[in-house]
Amino acid sequence: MGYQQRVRDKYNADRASGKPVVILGIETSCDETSASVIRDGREILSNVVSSQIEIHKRFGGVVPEVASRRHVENVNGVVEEALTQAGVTLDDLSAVGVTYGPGLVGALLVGVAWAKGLCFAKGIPMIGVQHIAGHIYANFLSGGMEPPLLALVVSGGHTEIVHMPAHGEFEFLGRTRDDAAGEAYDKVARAMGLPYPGGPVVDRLAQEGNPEAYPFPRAWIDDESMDFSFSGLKSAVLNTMHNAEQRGEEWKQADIAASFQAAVVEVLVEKTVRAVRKTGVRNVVVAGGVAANRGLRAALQKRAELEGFGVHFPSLDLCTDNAAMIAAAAFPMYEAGRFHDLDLNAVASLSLTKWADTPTIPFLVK
Amino acid sequence: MPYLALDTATTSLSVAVGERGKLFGEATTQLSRNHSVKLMPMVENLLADLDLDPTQLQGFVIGRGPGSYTGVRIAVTAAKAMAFALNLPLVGVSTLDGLARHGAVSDALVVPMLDARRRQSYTALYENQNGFFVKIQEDKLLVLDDIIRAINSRMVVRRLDKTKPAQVLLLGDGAENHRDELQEKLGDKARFATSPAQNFVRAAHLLDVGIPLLEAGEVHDPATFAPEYLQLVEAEAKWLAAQQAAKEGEPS
Repeated sequence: MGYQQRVRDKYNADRASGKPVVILGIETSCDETSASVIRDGREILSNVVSSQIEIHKRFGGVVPEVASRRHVENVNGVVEEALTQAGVTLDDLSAVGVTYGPGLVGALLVGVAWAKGLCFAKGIPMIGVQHIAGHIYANFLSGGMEPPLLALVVSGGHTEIVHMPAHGEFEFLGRTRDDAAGEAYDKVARAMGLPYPGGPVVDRLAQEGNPEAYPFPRAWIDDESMDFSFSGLKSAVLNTMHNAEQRGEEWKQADIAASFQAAVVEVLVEKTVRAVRKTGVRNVVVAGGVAANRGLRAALQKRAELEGFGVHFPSLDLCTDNAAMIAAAAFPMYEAGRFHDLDLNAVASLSLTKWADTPTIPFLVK
Repeated sequence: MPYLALDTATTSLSVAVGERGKLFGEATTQLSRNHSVKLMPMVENLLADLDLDPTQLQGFVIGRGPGSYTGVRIAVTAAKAMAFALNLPLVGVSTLDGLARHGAVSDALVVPMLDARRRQSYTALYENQNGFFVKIQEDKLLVLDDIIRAINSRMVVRRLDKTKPAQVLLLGDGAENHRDELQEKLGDKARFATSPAQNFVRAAHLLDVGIPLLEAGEVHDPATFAPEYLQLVEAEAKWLAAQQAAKEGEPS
């Protein structure tokens, strides 16, 4: 019997049995090898993350080929650990969710090839998950909200405001025109001589500095726009440090960090407020690595109270890349019976709004 | 019960199913630039054509490179998952074996060459000895001049044995891309594939090499199994060199 038919049969049998939906998530889009088991889309039974950060630190950033090699070596052990911690076997799985983009293509391919091998061997339904959707769904794991939602996506590769009218539906309201917010953090951190990854260090330093020490620019673009631009801010910070050094003046790390962070956070918060006012959607979730930023969490929380809208952040351990969020994002696809076939590919630049376009197995529910 | 062999390390995408001494079926394409998309459907179709189910397999033979880094990981990773899922043994064998064994019936020295750019090839040496096709030099990444040197060095030994002709069969894209130079430097010793059907990696050949290993219990652990790249990542090599230099610079 072919794979498609085995998937249909298993899905129909599992649905009819009324047993809980147990999804194995797999995430290898960058430098974390992660596997997680989630029950009924919300409950984390395990979430194992094998970070390569110590390996890539020596290179000053992620080396894609090194990341891919480590994923191959790690993936079996990480999945086995996730299953053991969750107390489930492969036969208990309802489906497998795997990140297939965006990310480093060689790294993504490891997760995708592994998931396809497993799902083919056992006849398990497979759901390719868009990584940013995963970050948004991290909010559903920590008692988050239901759509309609606005999502502020902020990471090393993304800065976007997304409207999510229903599960699995996404529309961009604004996005960065140049650097991502996290990218600006990393570049400023590097110029300050801070160790990789610099974002969290800048955040920590910013707590001790004066946010008004340097009047760094805020890019509003225009009164209406929900787009972002951070390259001008990044250049201003770099120039300030450079000019001070030219004049033989000292610059205080903490003040630079605090002033830079104040500029980034103010723009992120105000553009989010614009989106709330424009759409009338009153619930906001924050997603991506920068969702862990203390300055952003505090400022957005405060502004949301003033404006009277709800805001939700993932728990700190779910802000960075992890497979629990991938399994969580796979859950509504499972409910809808949308599964991918064995020709699923890794897509380095997969857009959130293109996720739904990847063909799924034609489904005949008996 | 049959074994499944896979190789995705080169432009050849090859899948074979068989037992010891019996090839049930094989599928190979050579135009695919997208092994990631094509591999598992090809496995599914071949098994379906043979009326087999994945649970009827008894082990995996995987081409573990050398070759394309991204390519080799496709089959290796899929096999790691399948071996784990079905609790079956897995053994990795050289992708070069899959190319070299086109020359298994030849009396010549057999030299598979997978082009690795900059006049380099992944290569190894093979020869028939008492009816067995034997690997006499392990996989290496060599520049063309060193490959020619290794061939000539082996020829010195072969000249002592009257049954071994002073001939070398050069296979693969590395041989084809440097055919003129190899012909010029090796003269009438050099032989090339007489058909494009002898110039690609076949999974059926991997079964020949891997099944005896699997049956002898000489298997890899699927958890730790990884490709054989033969090269460090450039960033790693530079880092190691810098570490070494720093160590030597330290006062003892």
